[in-house]
Amino acid sequence: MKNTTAALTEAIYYILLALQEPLHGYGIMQKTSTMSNGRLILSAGTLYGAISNLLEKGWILPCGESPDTDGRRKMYQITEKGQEVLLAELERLEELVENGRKNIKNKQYENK
Amino acid sequence: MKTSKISINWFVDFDKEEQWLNDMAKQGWAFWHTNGVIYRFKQSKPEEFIYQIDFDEKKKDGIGDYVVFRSSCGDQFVHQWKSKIYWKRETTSGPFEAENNVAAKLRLTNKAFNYHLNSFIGLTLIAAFAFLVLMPLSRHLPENAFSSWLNDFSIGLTYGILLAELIILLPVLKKLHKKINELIGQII
Repeated sequence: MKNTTAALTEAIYYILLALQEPLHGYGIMQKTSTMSNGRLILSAGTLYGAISNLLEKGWILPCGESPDTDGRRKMYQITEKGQEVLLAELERLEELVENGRKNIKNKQYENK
Repeated sequence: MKTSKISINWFVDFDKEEQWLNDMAKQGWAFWHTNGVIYRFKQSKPEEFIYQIDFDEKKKDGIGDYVVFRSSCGDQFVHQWKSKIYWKRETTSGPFEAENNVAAKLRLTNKAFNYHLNSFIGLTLIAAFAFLVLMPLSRHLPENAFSSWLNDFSIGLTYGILLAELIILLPVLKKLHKKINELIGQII
């Protein structure tokens, strides 16, 4: 089974988006929260599990430690494989939105 | 004025335990240590902290890496008892998790289920040992005070464990299983 074709969870999607540039765990939490206007709050426990999974799948890689703190914060960055997965997900989401727009029967929406 | 407090309590249901610790924190008692029965609290400002109970999953990188990671994200490690980990967070820095994060809730509930399932399996093995080894052994020994004590002990242990499993552990496992199914229902 190709796990790359499965839909990503919201959390994974935002983590991969946040890791377009190197970030540490806390940075991922903050960026995710900002991007989703505070709707998606990831707990550190959940994030730890998600990062372990992503590392195992090879979608992200550790890239050193953050220089601005005591040096104990590990930084991560998306890999090429991760980027492919993210792009595939973006296509899937676009398909969802397009189908929604084409098929939804809602006067308010049609008038727009 | 008293600045510390000891409270005796015993929980199987981690949801209730978490709720109780949070209620105590609201009243200005910050939990810091337990041995499963005796809970120790230090005085804090009312509603200064919120608590979360988590379960260690024997991570391959060890618990240290997990603690360092969470600590760097604003969670404070409070205490670990067996495989239960207690975390606290300043109330002002927001909740541990968004209420609507079903996947995260599922993960934590599943951890709790595994924790209780492990206790269940462990206790059942002890009961099986008492029933299949100790009890027959006591009947093969020459009759004396020790063999009759061993016989009573193995019977008591077997039935005691089975009763505890039926009354306490099974309902908790059922409740967690139901919760897992409800959460899965919210995802699909």
